Amino acid sequence: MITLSHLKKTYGGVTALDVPELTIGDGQIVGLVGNNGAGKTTMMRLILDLIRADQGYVTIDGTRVDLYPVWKTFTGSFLDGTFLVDFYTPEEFFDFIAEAYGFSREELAERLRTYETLMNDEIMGKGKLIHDHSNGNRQKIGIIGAMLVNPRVLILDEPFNYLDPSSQIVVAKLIREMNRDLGTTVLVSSHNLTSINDLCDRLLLLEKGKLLMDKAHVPGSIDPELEAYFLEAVK
Amino acid sequence: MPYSLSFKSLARLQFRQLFRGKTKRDLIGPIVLIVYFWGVVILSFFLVKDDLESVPTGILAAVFLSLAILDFLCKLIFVRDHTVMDAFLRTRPILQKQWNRFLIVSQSWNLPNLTMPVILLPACLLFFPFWLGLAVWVGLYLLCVLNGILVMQLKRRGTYAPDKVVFTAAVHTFKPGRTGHAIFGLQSKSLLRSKRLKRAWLYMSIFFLLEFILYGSTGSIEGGRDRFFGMFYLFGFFAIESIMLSQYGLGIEAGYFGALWTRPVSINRILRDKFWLGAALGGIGLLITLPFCIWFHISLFVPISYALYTAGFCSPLLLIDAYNCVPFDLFGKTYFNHQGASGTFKASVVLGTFLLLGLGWGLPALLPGWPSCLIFSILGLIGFVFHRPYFAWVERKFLKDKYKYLEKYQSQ
Repeated sequence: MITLSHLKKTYGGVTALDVPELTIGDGQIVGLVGNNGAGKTTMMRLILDLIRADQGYVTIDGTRVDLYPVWKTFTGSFLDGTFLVDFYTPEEFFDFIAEAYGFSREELAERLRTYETLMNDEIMGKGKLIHDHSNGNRQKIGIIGAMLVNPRVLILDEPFNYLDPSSQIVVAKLIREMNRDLGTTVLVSSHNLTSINDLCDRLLLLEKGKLLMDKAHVPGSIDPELEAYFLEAVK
Repeated sequence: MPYSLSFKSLARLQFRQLFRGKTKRDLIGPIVLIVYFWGVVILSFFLVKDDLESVPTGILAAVFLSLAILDFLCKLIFVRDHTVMDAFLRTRPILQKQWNRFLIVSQSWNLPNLTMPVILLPACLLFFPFWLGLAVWVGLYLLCVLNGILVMQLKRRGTYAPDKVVFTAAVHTFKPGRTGHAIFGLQSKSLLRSKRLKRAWLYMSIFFLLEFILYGSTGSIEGGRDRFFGMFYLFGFFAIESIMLSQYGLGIEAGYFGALWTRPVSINRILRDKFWLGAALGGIGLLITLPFCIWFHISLFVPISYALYTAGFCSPLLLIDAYNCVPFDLFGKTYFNHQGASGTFKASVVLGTFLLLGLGWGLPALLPGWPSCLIFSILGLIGFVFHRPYFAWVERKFLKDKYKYLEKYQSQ
């Protein structure tokens, strides 16, 4: 369970995030939506203890993330390119993750089999550094790196960016399967409303750092309120 | 005529990129370096003043101008291809002719072209009458600019061939698969796979080693001032092996800190890996130099003590605030990408490096023979014995103010 308590972050006097209370229950797939500058990435960075909260704190399973790093052992995340080791090949990067989380090479090979469809023979065995892969493949490597640890908590920022439609479908399917099989709590942000609608069972809408909407959602359905919000924003 | 960004706009963009985010504190590093080199030049002048009185001024001027050859070679080795436009420029209307003109004219203020003239400015004024000194300095500056243009022309046609030979040899020596496990590999592979790091490390190592062998093989190392210089190069070789990576602190890791911070990999572990990579390279350096030391009748205690001192003592000390660093872009290569190329080293690190190197070079002159070796060995062994609690302490210091550094890494 992830909880945000009186969480506030400002940059130069501008509020990037201001969430009095938020709880994400175990096993939920939560979609975080909002226009640019809404505070989605800031929220994720605060959950991952990458930036200091001006007020409040985040807990995962009751433990404050800023005080105790135990969350790192069961959390998988991918926000941007700094979550990749650019000078490694994908194989070495996955080796690094296996070593950091303490699972064997055999176990790693076994887990990687799950992601073969996503990799589509374009990632492994090419002898290319991650730096030299296309943006789409880098995105896939990052997502696999986050999911490979079979996390209890999975945090992905814009995972569908750069991906072709087939890969977007595969990623959504992999997230759903992980959630179903392992009970993983998922927080995923995206500008792609279709993917969010298909995947998530709860939607959070942020605007200028404030939580505007927090509602349950039936995966696969379209949320008219959400559609209306974004249509209204461009009028 | 189609629209193109003007020369003025390009120059303004370059200067803004160069100085953006820089504070007065960032000037400390370059000032320390200039003061250091000027000190060396002035000291050298007073040491050789009497010997130079018999040398005709014309010959001396020719010797000065011939330093442009060294400048050319250095640029051939170290300067990257600066002609590549970054994505921002490539997507703007810039005529090729305008870009070429900018590239050529900007060589007149290019930092590598200014380095040698700035360092040798006091030498030109001290070694010659004023007007001749000024003429020599201007000549040197013009030659350096010309070198810059020539090297730019050479480099834009592709990688300079001899680079490949040396790098291929190095890569075969340290094949990636043999460099250790995946977490330790973060250190070794970042060195081997980044041309920016690898070139500096490899060429400086080779330079110091060859100079040492040159002194030794000509018998100059037997005694006196030449012995001092021979030992200077031997020590320099060990210093490069063990210290070079430490100087960047966590700058390399800062480029992919998300991958580290969100995973159960401690800063302590990363620092210890840096330490052990330095020690391993020092060990390899020891194996390389031992046969030469035997050949030149140098006590084996000397290279062993140098290896212990640089790897065990200097390297951890330079990592004392490793986290206070600028992210180093391992793959940076475009013209306007100065990330990692400027302001990477902190003034305190530069100063610390010079102090530690100064001790390494000066102590054998003050205490020749085994006493200096003994001191170096003891200092090095202290480092090896206490490195674990030491790095745990460094990590605690980082964690105390972690957001300051994490936010700095993410903002750059």
